[in-house]
Amino acid sequence: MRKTSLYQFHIDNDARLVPFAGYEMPLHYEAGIVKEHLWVRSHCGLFDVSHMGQIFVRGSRVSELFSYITPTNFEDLNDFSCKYTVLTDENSCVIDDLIISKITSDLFYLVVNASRKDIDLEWISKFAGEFDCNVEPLSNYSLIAIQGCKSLDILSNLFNTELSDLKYMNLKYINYKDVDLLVSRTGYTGEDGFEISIPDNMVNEFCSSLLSFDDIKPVGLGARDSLRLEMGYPLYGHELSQDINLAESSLSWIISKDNKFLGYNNLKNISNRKRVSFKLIDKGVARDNMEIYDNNNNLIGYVSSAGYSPSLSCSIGQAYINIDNSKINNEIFIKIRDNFKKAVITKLMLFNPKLKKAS
Amino acid sequence: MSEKTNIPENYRFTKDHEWVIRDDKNDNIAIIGISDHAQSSMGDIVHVELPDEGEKFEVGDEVAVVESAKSASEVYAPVTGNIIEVNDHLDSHPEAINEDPYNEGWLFKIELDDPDQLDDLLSSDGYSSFLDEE
Repeated sequence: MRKTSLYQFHIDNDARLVPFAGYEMPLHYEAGIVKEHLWVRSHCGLFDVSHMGQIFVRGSRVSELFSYITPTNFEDLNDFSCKYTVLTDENSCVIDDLIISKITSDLFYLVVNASRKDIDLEWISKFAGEFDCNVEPLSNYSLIAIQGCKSLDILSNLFNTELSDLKYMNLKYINYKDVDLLVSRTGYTGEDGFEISIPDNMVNEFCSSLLSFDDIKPVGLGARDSLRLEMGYPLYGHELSQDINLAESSLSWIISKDNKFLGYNNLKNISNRKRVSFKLIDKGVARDNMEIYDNNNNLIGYVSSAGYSPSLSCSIGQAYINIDNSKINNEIFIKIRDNFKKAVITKLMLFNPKLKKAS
Repeated sequence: MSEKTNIPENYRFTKDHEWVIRDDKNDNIAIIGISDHAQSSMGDIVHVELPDEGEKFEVGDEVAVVESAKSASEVYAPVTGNIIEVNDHLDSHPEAINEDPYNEGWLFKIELDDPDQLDDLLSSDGYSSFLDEE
């Protein structure tokens, strides 16, 4: 089992460690998943996401490379900005979802899922040569996420610089103790926040310094999952996989118009199904892979991810449902053990973090 | 087991981490819940599926399901008998199981077919040794 550089930090903070993508990671700390989730929505949480892959890709044609292997056009992107997108294969099926940042027109920075980083490296390297690019996975760098409305104040304080000019989906280098850290205003929770790439030999001191602020607490992967579920964000291996065509995944906003990318000719909803979010109406908790029925006992889909929403105090999740049954406000029935529990299809984003209420 | 878990002396236990005590108003009624160790391993409890009053269960039958933020755990009948009462408070306050597993967090009461069946269960020392071996 692999460990990140914050392993001892996790132990010192009473983490409940579980295996995740080959790493021992904190599911939660002493506070527990529900309190940690609510703390991120009201204050600020610190996440160790060092298990994820960080990759630099260099070359004068790097924008062309990624405009080809993702459905997103990178040619017109400003320097120091970030895009959420997917790598697809020739069938337009999803290899991974990732954030690609254009640092300059010759240098891109990628953050990819831990469970896919080896596959992504191999895949990108396959095409990199054609576009005269070099692929450099980062080693000895940790990655942390600071998420919640207090993030801006805390980090501006710690970095002794006004961070409000770093806008959402942008990144910059910030000097901290004579080292330039790559800081992006991105996240997976829906709250304002930052992600910081920092050398392994600095991350422990940095995290200890962060914890000296009252408003920030360490938060585990359990809350990370319930936070992203409330936002309707997909998780690779659940809502996205190589068995799922991009056209089914309700991510058409990432497809740039007129971009004839690798999978373009096969971008089709062949399975006639669609990714939706749902909220359980009857009492209970929906879980991954449960079957979904219509009110005539017809099987119409399955749960791709589900759990408990601390912000909404009910069970929520995402599912792939037959297109004909997938309209918002449609009633569906989730088979939980032997019971058919009523649920309703909702907008993808179930909770609005800016308004602090159900969306 | 790195931290001390609470195991009250006069309670009986099963290897599935249920506890049982006799109702102090009626020797023939057993009150059942899950142990401090169980609630701690499960994490934040968000929902409980309790049986109906009158339902009959044999030792080892699945009686209830406790849902935590991360997973579902079955609760099995430690004794044979009928359900005579369930803890309705858990409907709106499932977290009572985390906060007070041995009192407020009780799950259901069974009228015992065999009042001596409690003697077959682990004592608190027995449960403690069992946890040390796990």
